[in-house]
Amino acid sequence: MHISEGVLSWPVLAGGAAIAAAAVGVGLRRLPDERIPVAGLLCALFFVAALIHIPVGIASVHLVLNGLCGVLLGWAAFPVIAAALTLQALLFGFGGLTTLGVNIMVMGVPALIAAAAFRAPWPRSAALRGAVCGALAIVCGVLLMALALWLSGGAAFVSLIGMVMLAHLPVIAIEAAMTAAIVGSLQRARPALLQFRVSA
Amino acid sequence: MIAIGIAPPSLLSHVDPRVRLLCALFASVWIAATPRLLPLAALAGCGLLLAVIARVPARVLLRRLFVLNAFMALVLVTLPLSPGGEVLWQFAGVGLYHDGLMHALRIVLAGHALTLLFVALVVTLEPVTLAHALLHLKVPDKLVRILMFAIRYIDVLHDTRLRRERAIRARGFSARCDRHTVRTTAHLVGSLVGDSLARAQRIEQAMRARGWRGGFPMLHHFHLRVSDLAFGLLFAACLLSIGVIA
Repeated sequence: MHISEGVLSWPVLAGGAAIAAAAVGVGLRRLPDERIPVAGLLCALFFVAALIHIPVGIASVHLVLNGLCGVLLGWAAFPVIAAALTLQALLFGFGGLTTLGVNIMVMGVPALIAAAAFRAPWPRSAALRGAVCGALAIVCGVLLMALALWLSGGAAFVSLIGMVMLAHLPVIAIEAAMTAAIVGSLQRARPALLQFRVSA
Repeated sequence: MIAIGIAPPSLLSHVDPRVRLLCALFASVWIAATPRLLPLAALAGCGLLLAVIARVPARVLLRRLFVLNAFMALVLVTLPLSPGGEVLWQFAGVGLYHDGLMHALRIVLAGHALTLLFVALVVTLEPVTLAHALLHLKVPDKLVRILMFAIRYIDVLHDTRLRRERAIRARGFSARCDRHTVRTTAHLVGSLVGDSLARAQRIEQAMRARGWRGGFPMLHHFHLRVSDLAFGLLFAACLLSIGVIA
């Protein structure tokens, strides 16, 4: 879930960076000092989880888990995602300095939406709600990505947007299944974790 | 083991990390706002030169460029084929269009310039030095603390993950695209979540026992020297002159 360097126009980059800075600020304000080790460890966890690949046909899909990130962290997902994306840019060259803000929004806003969806009273089963969160987080992320590309290039980017959406179809299925299974596993093994909220 | 701070000592490692970060930021803004091809190509050349001066290992640089170009291939395939402007070439109903081609070239050049400069100026910084430079540049200290905890514990969690994967593989597991793989991987991730939260609790207790009150002291203090200022000014002059000449 990254937009590469060089693709977006500067108003989109600047707007993304400004909104992301505000969102990270809100997330930090809602994160109490004593929860910073938890946030740091979860940041490391999501970084490591993104290295896990699930084979799909001849290719493979890596985990994103921004839905789970939102469920566990709430608003604190923004600073955690910001730190994780910074590290991914530093270590692997996924994304970079200019696209950091837009990429934070592409992953962070869906995380918040997933967190809200997880608190919904329906469906009753935690695993099903997990599946909804996982799928919703990727769908919203791809839509935001498409929006950023559209605002930068308009009609010229239509086929690129189409390919990006197509490439994410297997990701939606894998994320739904994985988030459901992880939430189900946490619900059975450590139910307290799902009620635990890192940020206020 | 995941390594950061990849470069051996070089001419560039003497430059103040704050100056390097600011140069990278300034260049990024400059590149994002430049629509013309020639300055972008010149700047990509500058980026390559800086990467060589910074002695970035070729393996690292090639891997970065490979990641970038995987996406750039998509851009090069789709953009020139979308209608707009003069038709350069037409075959079997598919046309190659001038506007799209120029747009694609701009994206490819800007992407390379940004990536090369980022690798040369920022990626080569040692992570803890980078974190302190960010603190000095007034990045919120809570955010930097999250970053430092993550840097410290990525390796620990990564090792745990590899150990557990070895254990499940030793029991005959191989990843496929099926329900069993999803369930097994989910247990793995779930156990890592539990692990990291329990570890965070232990870390916090241990730190409190040593008098932690929720903040790290700043160890690195950077002193701006004449050579740092000279580097910054030279860099800015390069950018401006490329903008004017090209």
